[in-house]
Amino acid sequence: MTAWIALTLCLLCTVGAQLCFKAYHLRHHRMLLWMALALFAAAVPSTMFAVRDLGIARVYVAAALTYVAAPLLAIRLFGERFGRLQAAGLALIVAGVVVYNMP
Amino acid sequence: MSEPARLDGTGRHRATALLVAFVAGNVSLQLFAAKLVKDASALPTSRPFALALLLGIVLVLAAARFLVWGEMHKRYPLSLAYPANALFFPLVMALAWFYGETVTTANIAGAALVTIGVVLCLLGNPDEVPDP
Repeated sequence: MTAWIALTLCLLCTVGAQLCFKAYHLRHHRMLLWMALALFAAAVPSTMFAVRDLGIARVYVAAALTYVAAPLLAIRLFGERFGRLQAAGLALIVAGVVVYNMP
Repeated sequence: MSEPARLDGTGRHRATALLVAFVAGNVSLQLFAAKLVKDASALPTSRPFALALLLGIVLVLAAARFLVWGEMHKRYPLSLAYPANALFFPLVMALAWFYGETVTTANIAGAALVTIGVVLCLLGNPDEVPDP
């Protein structure tokens, strides 16, 4: 259970870092850059705790979900859009993570 | 006429070789970081300094990847360079197998779908991609 919480934290930190980094490039607030760096750094121990119980491949394959979450949140936060090809890619990533975790 | 054509060809080969080197370097750094995370996860909590050292090296590797990315950004379109880095996903499975983790058919299929999905995402919108 703790490992899944660590994995969730790892994903949240990575997505948060990506969004802060993007926001920094748009708004040039130095605080956003520091937040991005802090979140990137926080993702490392979270990843380690997740890997301890879940295994390296499961954690890193699940980390691909950040490719889904970051663009979806970017639509809401930055008014970004994505095309059909990207939507198909996001669907395949989710399907891949589900298939990966099938018994 | 033949001399410039030969030079163009040479330049193209150099650019391709450099791209392959960048992608190989980036994926290797990513895999090495994953290996260190795996090693750190096997350490007991009674060895905090070793743990901190390994995690510190992971952070340094992340910084090195950031620099490699900077160079790739300067020289190549992301639509070309970034999808190749999705190679990380099947390779991390090979690393897991190396560490004795069970790799099932579902795992291989899932990793393949993720890899194709990442490539499609990046081809669809190459300028706005998160670095995993």
